[in-house]
Amino acid sequence: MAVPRSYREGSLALGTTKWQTISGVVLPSATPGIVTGIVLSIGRIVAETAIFWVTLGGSYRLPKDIMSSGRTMALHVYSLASETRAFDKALGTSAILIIIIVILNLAINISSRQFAKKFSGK
Amino acid sequence: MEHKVNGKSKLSVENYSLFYGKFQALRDITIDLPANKITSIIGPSGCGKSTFLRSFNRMNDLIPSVNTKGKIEMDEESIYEVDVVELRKRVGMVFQRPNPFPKSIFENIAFGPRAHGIRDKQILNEIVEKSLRQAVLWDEVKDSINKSGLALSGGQQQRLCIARALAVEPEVILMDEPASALDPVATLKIEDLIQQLKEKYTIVIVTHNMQQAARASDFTLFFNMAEDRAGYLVESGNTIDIFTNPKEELTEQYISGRFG
Repeated sequence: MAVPRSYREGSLALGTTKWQTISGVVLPSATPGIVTGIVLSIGRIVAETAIFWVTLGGSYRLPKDIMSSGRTMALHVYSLASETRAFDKALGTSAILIIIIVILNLAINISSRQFAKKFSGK
Repeated sequence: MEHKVNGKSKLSVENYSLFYGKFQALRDITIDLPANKITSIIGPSGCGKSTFLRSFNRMNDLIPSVNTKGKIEMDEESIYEVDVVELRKRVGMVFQRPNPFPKSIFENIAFGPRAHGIRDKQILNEIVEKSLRQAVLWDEVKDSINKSGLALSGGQQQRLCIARALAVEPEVILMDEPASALDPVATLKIEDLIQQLKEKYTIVIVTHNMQQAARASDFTLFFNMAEDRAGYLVESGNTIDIFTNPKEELTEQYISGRFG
């Protein structure tokens, strides 16, 4: 979703500075794309699997703050199911995972519909 | 050939050439454009009409490979010596395809004045109404001023873009085939509007449509493309003379539809 060149030219032709063009026209029209990108990547990370086995380290400790290492839920489910006998906890985690994905997808739907409404003007 | 204008000239171009990298797009153009008149630029595709138009507000500066030679002056001051932002405030532009911002009608017009430091809501309201009235759009949109500019029809969008250009109170308005993407009814509306605007503004319009140039302009420049594809000025003069009594054979051939 690139910002059309015509927006930029239209703005500059009014005698605005580069920054006024970026903050007033380019960023606002790119916002729907940026927001969708952020939400989609959150959804992706929450559901990510094998890659995180390697990259996330699969920390066993509960995270203390936002900067401490953690693990994705999918990995948690895998560990519980394959390395322990706590199937009930694995199933519970799976349920929460599914609920989060559903909520995120609903949020994307609603927000993109709202942006579409705002920008198409209908 | 003599390129002087009767009456006051607003823009004057002297030995102006433009290059895209090594390719020469405009060659040695010398012309004065009259103030408070409509000047149309006609010529076959690729002859540099739009490039020439975009020279006046230095829109070509956005393309890194562009180089120019020669002089362009507005009110006897070189356009390369004034600040480019200031220049574009004084020389507005309307593009070939309507390009309203994805904002409300109000915000589309208030954007320019606001960028130039007008914050007072009352004054902004007045500017928006005045600009929309000047662009003969007010009566159609006054009840939906907060609706998106993109919800308007093509012709309305183009008038919105004209209103947006007027809102910053330019002295010159450049129009790059402003009606080529519109239907005949919307085209006539835009032409009427241009006629009304010439009292206050100097207008330069590029057009592919010969009838439009003949109908809607006072002064005409005819461009052609040389062997090496560089654009040059063939003939200029009052529109009526160019269309009824052209001096150059090439002009005669072009306006009678024998090439181009």
